[in-house]
Amino acid sequence: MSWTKKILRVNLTEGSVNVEPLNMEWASQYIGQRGLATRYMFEETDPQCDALGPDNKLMFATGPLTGTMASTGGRYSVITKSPLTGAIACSNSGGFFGAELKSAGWDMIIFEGKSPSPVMLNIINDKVELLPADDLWGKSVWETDKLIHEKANDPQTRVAAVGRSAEAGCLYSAIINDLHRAAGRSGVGTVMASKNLKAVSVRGTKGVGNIKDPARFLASTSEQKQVLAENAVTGQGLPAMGTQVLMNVINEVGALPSRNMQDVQFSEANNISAEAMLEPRESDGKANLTTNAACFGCTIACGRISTIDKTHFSVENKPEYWGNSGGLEYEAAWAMGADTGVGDLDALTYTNFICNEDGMDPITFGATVAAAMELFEKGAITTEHTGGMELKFGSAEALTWCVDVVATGEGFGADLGLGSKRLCEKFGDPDLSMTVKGQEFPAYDPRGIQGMGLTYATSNRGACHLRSYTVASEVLGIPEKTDPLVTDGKAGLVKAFQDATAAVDSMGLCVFTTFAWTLDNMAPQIDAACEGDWTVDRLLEAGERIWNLEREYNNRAGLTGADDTLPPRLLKDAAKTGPAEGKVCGLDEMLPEYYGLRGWTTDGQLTDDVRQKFSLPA
Amino acid sequence: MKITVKFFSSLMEYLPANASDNSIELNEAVAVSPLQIIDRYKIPHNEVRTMMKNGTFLPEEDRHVSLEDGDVLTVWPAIQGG
Repeated sequence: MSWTKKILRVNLTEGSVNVEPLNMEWASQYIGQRGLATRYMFEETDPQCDALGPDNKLMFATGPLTGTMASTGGRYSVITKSPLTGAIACSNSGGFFGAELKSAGWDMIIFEGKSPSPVMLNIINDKVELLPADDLWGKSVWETDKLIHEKANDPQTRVAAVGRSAEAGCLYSAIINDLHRAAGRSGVGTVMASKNLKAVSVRGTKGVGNIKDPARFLASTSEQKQVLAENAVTGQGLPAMGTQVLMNVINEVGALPSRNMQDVQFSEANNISAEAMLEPRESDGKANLTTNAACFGCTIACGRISTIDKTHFSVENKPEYWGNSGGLEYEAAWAMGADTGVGDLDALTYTNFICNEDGMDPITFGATVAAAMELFEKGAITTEHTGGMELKFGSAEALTWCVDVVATGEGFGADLGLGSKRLCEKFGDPDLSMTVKGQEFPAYDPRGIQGMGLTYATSNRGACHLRSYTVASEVLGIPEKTDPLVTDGKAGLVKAFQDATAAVDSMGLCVFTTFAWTLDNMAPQIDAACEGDWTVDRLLEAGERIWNLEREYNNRAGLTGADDTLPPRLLKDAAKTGPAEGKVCGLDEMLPEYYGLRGWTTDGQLTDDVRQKFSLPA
Repeated sequence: MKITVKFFSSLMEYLPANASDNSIELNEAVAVSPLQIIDRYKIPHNEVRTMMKNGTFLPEEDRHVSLEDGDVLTVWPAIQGG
């Protein structure tokens, strides 16, 4: 139980909507959400299909704890084949959309084919219909959300939509729900737009009542909420400062990449930090941060709600951006700030607003701008390409111009929308792309935090911090302190984080709970909610199974061990300052051990023993 | 002996009025340890979680060891992100 045991299959080519039972055998092996949808992808798609063609599928998937009383149980993911990486994509989002979908009675939606004209899916419990969306095409996410709400006349309708960037073919477009929560990475929004699917709106009033043992579930979730409340990170640190508190920490340890990862520290880090977001402005005495915010069922509330200084150049004639909206998280602030050398908090907040308004992944966007700035400084990109804009490191004007043109895909915005890998190839210097498998790094330099190098190199969706957050251990000592500058022991650490995180995602919980919880805190909750005996060992086994199936999908898509690498800059150019000065990332010292721990071949292929151990499909 | 001290996040409230960029410059005549510094600024020990000396994690057992000329001490409460 706790699964609704029903999925929606929407054939966009035919315009049909059908109801199917959830495959419960797969649910028992892959839990839900990320894991279960990967199983469906593996069964139903050719891993070598064109990510932007009708043969790719797009799956919105909840977990068994989504929509329940479990803290943070509001997550859903979008699973598809990524146009940015060619690998399996799974982009996880919070807000309220996922819980609403579950409350409407659905575990998953599978979109297949391609609609001949723009459409949206409207779900009101069991009433599900494809509607024309010609009037929404060409609109931003925010306009789309507004128009859908006006028609629905129900403020509790939840909307997930793509913006103009996705329509224009930007390869890192996100799906935005609830105005500023994002299934952000790997271009899942680009896939959605390629199917002429503009939006999904959902209203669910059924609730999630099919709990196996309600009394035990109530007791367990209450007990574990108390653990979150009493933990200094989840009870105090994250709600007060958000993830942005890391800006100064990572800068101090010398792992804050700057100027397209040429440097590992940024002199203006404090100007764009959580601490800076609390400072009153000269113009109106208000701070950038208005308040914190929580997603459905979350008792941590790390989200940021911010305003931009009305006198700032980016918005001085744009009153539509003077109000409160989704503020900066650490990864976005790093990519658009430290990595581009821009230390202007208001410029970053504006850029963040536009990434939400028109649906772009701010990490890939910021890192792509950083690569473009380096290409500009080397003379490969000129003002002739940009129409006059000088893409200099540190230029807030250039950054905000870039976000405006990527949002619409106009002019040089189409080049920036390619992501840094294709951009750097186009302008003749592919080594300047700071990517793995075509996806840009997040905010930790693997020369200063060695485990993150292995994390990035082996992530199944390209460079990503959310697949194995060894920063917790290497920098902050959770669950135990390890030395960030050594490679010894990191293979095991990365594997443990990868397997556990796959299980957390697949339950429908937020990975931020793991700052206070381990699987020991989660197993009693899912066991009380769901049929079958859910133990820590079973969750870990499922997590490892999910990791291996994602890898198998990627191998069949054509990726190999040769793709488990890092850009030359991180392997050959030593860090110039800070504790990591003189260090490169020792990936070669970690990767063979990692393959061994996984039971893979020396070139990163699954073995029959592994397939058999986890009962992977043929 | 010059030492730079930085308090971040919720520990900002313990910074003196002359602090700039979350940072204060100390000019010490005699040796001083990280623990003595947080006592000087009346930071309750249970509010301190992460300490770094020159960007390197400072374990609890080393926090009584005197700092040296030019050291940068940074202090945080319990934090995480991602």
